[in-house]
Amino acid sequence: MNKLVLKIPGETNFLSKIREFALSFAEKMGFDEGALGDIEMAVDEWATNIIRHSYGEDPEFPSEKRIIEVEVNKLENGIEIVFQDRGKPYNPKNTPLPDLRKHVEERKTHGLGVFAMKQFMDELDYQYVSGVGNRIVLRKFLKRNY
Amino acid sequence: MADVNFSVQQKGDIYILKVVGSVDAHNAPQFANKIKEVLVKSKKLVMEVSGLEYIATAGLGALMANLNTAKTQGGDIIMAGMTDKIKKVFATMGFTNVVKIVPSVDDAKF
Repeated sequence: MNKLVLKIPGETNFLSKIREFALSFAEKMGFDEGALGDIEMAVDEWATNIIRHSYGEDPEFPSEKRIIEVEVNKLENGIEIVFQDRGKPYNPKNTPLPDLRKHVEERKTHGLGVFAMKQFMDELDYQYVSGVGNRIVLRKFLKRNY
Repeated sequence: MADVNFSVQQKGDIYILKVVGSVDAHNAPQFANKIKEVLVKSKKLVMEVSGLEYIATAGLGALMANLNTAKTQGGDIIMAGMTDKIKKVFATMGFTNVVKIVPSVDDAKF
């Protein structure tokens, strides 16, 4: 199987389904445990950001409009995960890198989700699709041992 | 739905909170409340996390907020039995310098 798409409500009680969806696809590709953990977290943190920021507590986004579309693609050398939402612009490339020491001292986690995603994935592309919403593409490559 | 389960044990003046399952943005408030609830009983808390399969940054935030409370009241939260997977998350976020991590509950010293 080279591609699968999941359309799911943008609600936190569905986060585990999104993780399962991405993980079961990635597992079949031969990623090791460490890489699977990375993919799991990146996917979960971005989905959480969509729910919190793109959709937020906004009445403009009634529940029937709060859909997250997750597409997983098998690349020749890795996995590509595409998130498409219908919400407000939220560009992870603009999210400042957290000052980890400050975060830890102040016990805050704002920005850590996006940081995790950037640390754990190899490539990240972002686009706001006019009239639609945020589209983010994450890629992680299989490590080859020669 | 993400599932997390808790069980609490008392060992002298130390409370041991065993956390099993996954903590994400959905159940992080429940996780936060559980830690808070146990801290009311004792400021010496050991979290047994060998069964913790996943923790989102929302869960880390919940832990850190409670850690602050425990420390300002002269106590501590010690993490016991952390898997390599969870240790990696803590290390990436810089939390390994902030919270004590020990191999097992018996190694937790306040």
